[in-house]
Formats: sequence, structure tokens, C-alpha cells
Amino acid sequence: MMPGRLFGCALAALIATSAGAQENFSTAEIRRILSHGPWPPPAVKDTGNRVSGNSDAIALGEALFFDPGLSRDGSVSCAICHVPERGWSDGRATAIGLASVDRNTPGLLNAGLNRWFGWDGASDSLWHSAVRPLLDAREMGVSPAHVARHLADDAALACRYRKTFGDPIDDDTTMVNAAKAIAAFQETLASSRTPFDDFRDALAAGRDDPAYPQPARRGLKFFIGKGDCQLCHFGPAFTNGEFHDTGIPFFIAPGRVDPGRHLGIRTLRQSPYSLLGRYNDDASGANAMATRHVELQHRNWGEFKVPTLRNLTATAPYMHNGSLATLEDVVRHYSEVSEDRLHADGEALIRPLRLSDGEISDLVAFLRTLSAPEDNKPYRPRFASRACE
Amino acid sequence: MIVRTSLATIGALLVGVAQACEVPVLANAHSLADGNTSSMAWRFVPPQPKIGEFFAVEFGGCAMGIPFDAATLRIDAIMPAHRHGMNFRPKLVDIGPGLYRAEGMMFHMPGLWQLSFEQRTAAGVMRLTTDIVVE
Repeated sequence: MMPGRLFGCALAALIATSAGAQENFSTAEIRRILSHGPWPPPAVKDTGNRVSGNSDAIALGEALFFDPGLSRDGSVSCAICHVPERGWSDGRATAIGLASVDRNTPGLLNAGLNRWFGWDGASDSLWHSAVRPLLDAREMGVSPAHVARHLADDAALACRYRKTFGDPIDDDTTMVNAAKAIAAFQETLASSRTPFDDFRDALAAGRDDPAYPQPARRGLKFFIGKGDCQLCHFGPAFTNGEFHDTGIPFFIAPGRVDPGRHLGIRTLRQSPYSLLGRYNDDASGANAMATRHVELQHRNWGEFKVPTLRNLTATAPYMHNGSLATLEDVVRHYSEVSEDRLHADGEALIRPLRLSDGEISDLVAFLRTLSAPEDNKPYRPRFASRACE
Repeated sequence: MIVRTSLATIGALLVGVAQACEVPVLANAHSLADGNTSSMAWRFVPPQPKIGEFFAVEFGGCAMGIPFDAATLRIDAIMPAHRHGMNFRPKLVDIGPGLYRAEGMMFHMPGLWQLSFEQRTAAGVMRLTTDIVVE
């Protein structure tokens, strides 16, 4: 199996090289490029959410996602921060719900592929991550009783809830079920194929894609080579799904720090909504492997999740605190990162790349080819538009 | 995913007293030894771990002539170049006479990992390591 795969790569290298002016990629480089696809990946149901993929749940979740009635004063819906035409982010440095939040709003496309959710990974499932903002006083600030009451008082929602889950049992279960319906909806939010995917698939087929721009090719070569970017931005989603210290300051204000992953693990362990709790629908507990084995380490202090690089063009500003306004700023950060800012006891992973202006421009050109413009149009409800009967 | 294994051994810190101890039989296993009285067999489950996916390591052996003892046995993996280990703590499960399975391990990045087995005994500490290139 291995020799065959290597032969395929060698053939692809030969063809890419024969294109003359094209950026040349070695066999090893092509193997790395191929590891970033194919896209889209196969859809996988969430075993911890019994309504994952259920059409009634998706319709309920879509309705709830855009419903400000799930907030304490009726002013904040999920979509206030996760704006569809902004890559399901909000364009702000840090989010504002009922009050200001300390972190940048992550986009939601491909959220279902994650192992951990949020910049600190305090949630271990998509539905767990939907519970969190409901209960956070700065975001939607409600209680399980509020959610249950809202679902009971709104006839359309009550109908959809009964169709999906049957009669309500208790407030806490109703709130978790609402979060599972929201998660079922979020699982439908996937990013489209991009110019990079076309190029990657052409290489996989032993062809070249002449439409893939030269600056992007040079940026890609740096990304998988000298830059070592793919150590963390690995695989089809361009993230290893884990946490690193990238030298972004974690001071929020004088005397206040954001502990990042360290706080995330501690929060996860205390949560009744984690996959180790009674709301996990996977009776085998097999899906809780990460939660069971995750280790709290000193180096977790100041680590934040590696974000996907797909659909980046719509989700500025960047980093956990939204401190970098543009993709150019992000690449320049990695070019000039101060090693003094890195955790003294942390990983020896980040180093200043010392890029030229041309290399920065090429890397940005590559990153831009990981987005599909059609993904960021205004959203029209697709599932909850029909009346519930 | 391609996993290349090259073997390296680290000698026991103290010389133990040789006793009768046989390395358990484990099909399709790699072997590690310090050339003295410590030796072991181990294998990945599944055989080729993928980056970002959980795997287990099944193993058994002798430390300074004494069968491994779960009470003082430790398995770990680090990336020496990056100065970090795994993000997950494996759990040892007894799977048969002298055999253990370390569950909950994950290589979360590509590159060179160093897998290590450490056994503390009354005679000292045995440490056997092997390099794994994960691509």
C-alpha cells in the first residue's frame, strides 16, 4: 500500500514540475499538500447527540439559533455574535452579548469537526458549547427554567420540541435538548470547496491546476516547508484541534489574565454537561475518550486553540483576543514574534520566521485560497421555514 | 499515515539482579532491550496511529529481570524538538499475564516523537525509549 501511494505522489511531482513556470513541489511536499484534503470530509454523526442529523432537530435548532427569546432580556440570539455573512463570526475584536466578553467570536463553519470547542476548549461537544453561552451572564444569561419556559410558551417551538424530543421532562434536560437541537443545526454549516481544494485534488490526480495562482503556490510551499505551519494547522481543516502558546499576550486588562487552556480544562472538569456527565447520549462512553484522558499541565497556561484556516477571509479580526486586524498582521506576527512573550516553561515551537515582504504577501495569498466567497452570503432559513404540524 | 520506528535503548540506571523473566509473547510486536536484563515487546493498536486520533500501546517485559509491575510502570511520549509531551494521560489496563495496554494516547502533531517506558523497581529505574516519526 505504501509503495503505491509513493508512486502516485512521484507522478504528481513530475507533472507539476513539467508545467514549466509552475512552482515545483517535491514528492514529500506533495504528500503534505494531499494531507490537507480531500474536502469536504465525510459527514459524521455526533454519537453523543441522539438528534444529530435529525431533520426535526435541525429545524428546531435553526429556529432557536436566530431566536433572541433565549436571552435574559430578549435581545441576544446566537446569531448576534455568529453572523452568517461574517463567516458566522461578528467582525468584532471581542464579543458583545448582554455584556462584553474577553475573547473573539470563532466562526461556526465546520464546527462539527472539532474535538474541543471555544478558544480554551472548555466544551467537549458541539451541544456542550451551545449550553455555555446560554448560561454565561455576559452572553445570553438565562437559566434552564427560562429556556424551558420559552420553549413551552412559543407554540411553534413547543411543537418542534415535542416532535423532536417528546414531552419535556425537566428544565435542565429541556435546556440540554435545546442545545442539542442547536448543535444539530450547526452541524449543517460546512464550508464549500476552495481554489486550494481544486489544486490539491488536481495534484492527487497527477495533474496541475493552472488556475491556482503562483503567489499562492509559493505561500503554500512555505506553509508546508520552512514555515512548519502545518505542524499545528494540520489536515483537511487546517488545525490539529489542540492548543498552543503563540506569543499573543494573555493579559486582558491590568491585573487580569486569560489563562486559556488551563482554565478550559478546569472548567470542563467541573461541568455537568461534559461527555462524562449524564447528558452524553453515547452509552458506551467511547466518545468521551478525550475528556477522560485530557491532562492539566502547567504549560496549558496561556495556550489557545489552533483555529481552522478555512474561510479565514470572512472572520477578521484574528487570534483569541481579536488583536490582529488582518491576515497580513497575523503573518507578520509569526514573522516577528517575540520569544520573550512565550511561556518560559512552554513548548519550543514558535520562533520568529523573519519573512520578507514578498514572503508575507505569498503566505497571505495562499491563506486567501482557503476561502470560498459563496460561504458568506446572508443566510435564509432552510429548515424551519415550514410550519410545524 | 506512515509511522517509521527506529529503536534506541537507554540502559537501566542501576544494575539489577538477573532473575528468570521472559518477555510475554505479543504478535507483530516491536522489541526493545538494554542489552542487559531489561527487555520488552510492544505494539501500537491500531498498528499505524493517525495524527490527532487516539491509539493504545500494548506491551509487556522485564525490568532488571523482574516482570513489569503496573504499580510503578509509566508510559509517555514526547516531542523532544518541541519540548512538549502528549496532551492526554494514558491509563494502564492489565490485559493478561505480564501484558498491559496503555489507553488514551495521541500524537497531536506530525514529526519525531519519543515513546518511553519507565519501570521503577527496588533495584532502580529502567527506561527504554524508541523514536517514532509520525507523518
